[in-house]
Amino acid sequence: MQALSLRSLYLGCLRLLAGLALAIALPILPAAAQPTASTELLTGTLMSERSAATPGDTFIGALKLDMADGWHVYWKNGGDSGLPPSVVWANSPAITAGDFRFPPPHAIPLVPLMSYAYEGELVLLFDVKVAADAKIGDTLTLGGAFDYQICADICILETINLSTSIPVAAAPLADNAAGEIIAGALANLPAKLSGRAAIERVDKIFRLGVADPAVASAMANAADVRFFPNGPHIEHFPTQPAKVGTEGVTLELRATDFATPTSVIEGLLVIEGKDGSYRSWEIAPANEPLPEGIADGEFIRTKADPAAAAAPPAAPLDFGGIATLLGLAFLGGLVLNLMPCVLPVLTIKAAGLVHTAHDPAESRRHGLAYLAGIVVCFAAVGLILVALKAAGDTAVGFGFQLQYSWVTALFALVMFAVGLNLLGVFEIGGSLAGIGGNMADKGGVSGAFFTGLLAGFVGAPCVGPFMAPAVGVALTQPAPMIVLVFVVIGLGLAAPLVLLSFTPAFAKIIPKPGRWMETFRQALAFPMFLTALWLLWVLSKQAGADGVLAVLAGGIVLAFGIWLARRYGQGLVGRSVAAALLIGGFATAPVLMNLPKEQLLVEGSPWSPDEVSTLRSEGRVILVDFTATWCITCQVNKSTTLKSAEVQKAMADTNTAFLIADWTNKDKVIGEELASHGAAGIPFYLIYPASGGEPLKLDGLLSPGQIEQAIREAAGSI
Amino acid sequence: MAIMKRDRLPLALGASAAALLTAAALVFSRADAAPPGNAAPDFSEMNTAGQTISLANFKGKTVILEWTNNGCPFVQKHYNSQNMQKTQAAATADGVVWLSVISSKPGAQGNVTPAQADKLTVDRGAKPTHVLLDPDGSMGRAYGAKTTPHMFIITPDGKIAYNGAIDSIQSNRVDDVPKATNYVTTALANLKAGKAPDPALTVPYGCDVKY
Repeated sequence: MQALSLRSLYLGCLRLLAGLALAIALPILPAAAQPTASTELLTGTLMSERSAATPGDTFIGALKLDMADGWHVYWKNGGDSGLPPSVVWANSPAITAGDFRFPPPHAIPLVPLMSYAYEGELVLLFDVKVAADAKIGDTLTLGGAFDYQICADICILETINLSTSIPVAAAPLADNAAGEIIAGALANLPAKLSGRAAIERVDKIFRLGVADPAVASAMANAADVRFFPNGPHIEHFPTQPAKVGTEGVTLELRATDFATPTSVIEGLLVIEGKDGSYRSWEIAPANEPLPEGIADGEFIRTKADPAAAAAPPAAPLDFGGIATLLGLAFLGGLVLNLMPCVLPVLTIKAAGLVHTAHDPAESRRHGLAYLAGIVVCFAAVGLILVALKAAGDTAVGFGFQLQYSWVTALFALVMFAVGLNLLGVFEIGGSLAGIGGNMADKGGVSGAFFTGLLAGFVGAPCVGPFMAPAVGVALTQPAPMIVLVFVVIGLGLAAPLVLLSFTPAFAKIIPKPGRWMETFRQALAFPMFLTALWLLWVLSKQAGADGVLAVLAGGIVLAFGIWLARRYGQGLVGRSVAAALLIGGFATAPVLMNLPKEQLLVEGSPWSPDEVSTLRSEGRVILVDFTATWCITCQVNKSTTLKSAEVQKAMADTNTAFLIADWTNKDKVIGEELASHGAAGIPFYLIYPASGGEPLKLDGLLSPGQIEQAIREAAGSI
Repeated sequence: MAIMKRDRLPLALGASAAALLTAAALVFSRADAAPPGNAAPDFSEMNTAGQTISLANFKGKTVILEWTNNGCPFVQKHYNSQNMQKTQAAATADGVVWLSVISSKPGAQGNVTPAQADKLTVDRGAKPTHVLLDPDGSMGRAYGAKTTPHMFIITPDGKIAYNGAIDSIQSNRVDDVPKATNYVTTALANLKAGKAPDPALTVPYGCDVKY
């Protein structure tokens, strides 16, 4: 506490001094020029790697800025605010100096804004050229007025005048001290990317993919990764969810209103290593599908999210503050009852209440079980967040997990399962919420408990935006307080129905239990299926057709497990198999979506008649695969033959071009090509020999040996 | 059936999945922004006379929002050069409502009392219709105000017509003011001629808003 106030006092003094210095210094400053100048906030030094230069010489100069603690100057794109240092040169006519070359910046958050800037020391390099007609023996001046915006929690604009003398000599002379600093800064400059960068745009989300060996190896030991855009097209503040693979990295960026389908998204990819290294690459991604092998798994940041780290240290709340926070949390929980996502579950619970309404003791027990379910759910959420916070994984804890496709997938499957349950395909805990179950069955209590869990669960999508402020405050508090806030939100959510279950009078206004309740409950399945459908749509945007396929496959496994459990769930074996299938069902989607992509020796490329004639003129062997996703035989051939090791090796050995004519959608050119070869349909394969002449035609089921031989024959190697 | 009743695994799975997903949803919140063409977010803030001013008060009128902070050198550039005052005078003379908004949090640079704000207006010869005090930053966040100055123009039917910088030269030099295109003046002229402002969206420059 004391350190804190001392620091603010210090900063306050600095600010005052800076203001004074600015007021006094501005009118005087332009007078004297020297290679080093200081203000209260910064020391600027102008240097050159030459202490003497030759006519026509080119070399590197540098502006070194040493900032006071807590102050920063900006990158070429300052982020949400901030201008970069600039210069008005006042060089000798025989000297020209180029633009500043900026090292990679750091992301400095000023919630909810983000600055791209430098703290501590910054070295800006620039090229210097001496005119060829410079006279030996002259002394040239390199220098000018350097403007910069320097900010802490306030911003100050300063100008310093710096200049240095460079004699023209017959032989160049190195300035070793400056040379060392310049060499260090050169090594720190962003590298040119040797690999491939691509960007895909879906609505407001940009996926930036970089496949490059150096990037991939840096990612293997990365604590953080971030893309710094040159322009205004992406939101600067948010965390950028990342995936990694053996080939590189994929980042998810949020578009701003400046982004159009044609806007150029360029910038720096910066990877911070666990060892504190800081590497960067210039990225100019093409608008094309992302490379493979760069999104095999989620990247977990181990560096604290700068946004979260910058949150002010938790001021311990006084009693009033605690009461307000808990009051807000309770109120929030109460209002949650009215949210569309919780409502269906609540109606189930309400229907259950009706069922027990005429047995007050049972009704109370169910009410308490429901309360326990909700509280357990919310306490678990609180504990998970506390654990994440303790692990320093603030980026994971407070990022945008709903953007992670596997969460969406799991959510869709759960909705599907809940829908099946409501339809009566299966029951959990004997009878969910006591409907249609045996009244005397104690399982009704665990059913009510489960309803509580479910209410907390399906309420999730609604909780976020609504409760954000209270949760935001809670997260700055010590662990027990975080958990308490969540428990109180749960209490608020549970309160209305628990109160009802303790009110005998309630029974009188509810119609008698009967068939209507069963109908009602089954009808509630359809909002659940609609929710699952919506989640699938979200997933289709996130993970494409493959992601949707993975969830649907998971759904089938799940349904199979449920059916097994119902049919053979009595014996130990049946029980275990069913349980395994149930878990498997939920796990299918995330696992399928994270499967590493197959590595093929020879990748297919799209077929076109032009491509064929080009390749033939080069004397290449060509294998054309006429295929479609709806053609099962084609898919069988692809996995058993075309992707087999023998065929892949044969293609690689003979430098065979593998062209794919994809007939999944109507395509006149492919149709005509098939007809011209007398093919009735697909699968159909053509192998063009290297020597020219008619292609070999194949259809039906293939075998690896057959194709391997055909390829080697076409290459003339047999 | 029996398996489900006794086997607590699904329950445990459900509970953990529920907790995870709730956690995920809880953290999902984002800042709003105000792109041109969208409805302008409503607001309700106190002016320096203690009255509550809402966007709804100005239906049928063009409204300009100017985010400001008197300690910010970029704001000073446009006030010391009289650029902001001239733009304000021309706009308000034309029946446009000009609201200067201060979103600096308490204790931060630019946070002023109503009396200080009024004194600033007099001292600088500024001509805003109202100065709004938004110390909790709610209005600033709703509009996505990033810098001081940051300008918004709202059409009489409540749509954002312009969002961005005051002018075209991103610098701190007063000399640049006459050389720059004043985007607010241009946008107002466009609107008067029945056209959409061009440009309607620019990158604002200045100090960060002191949220």
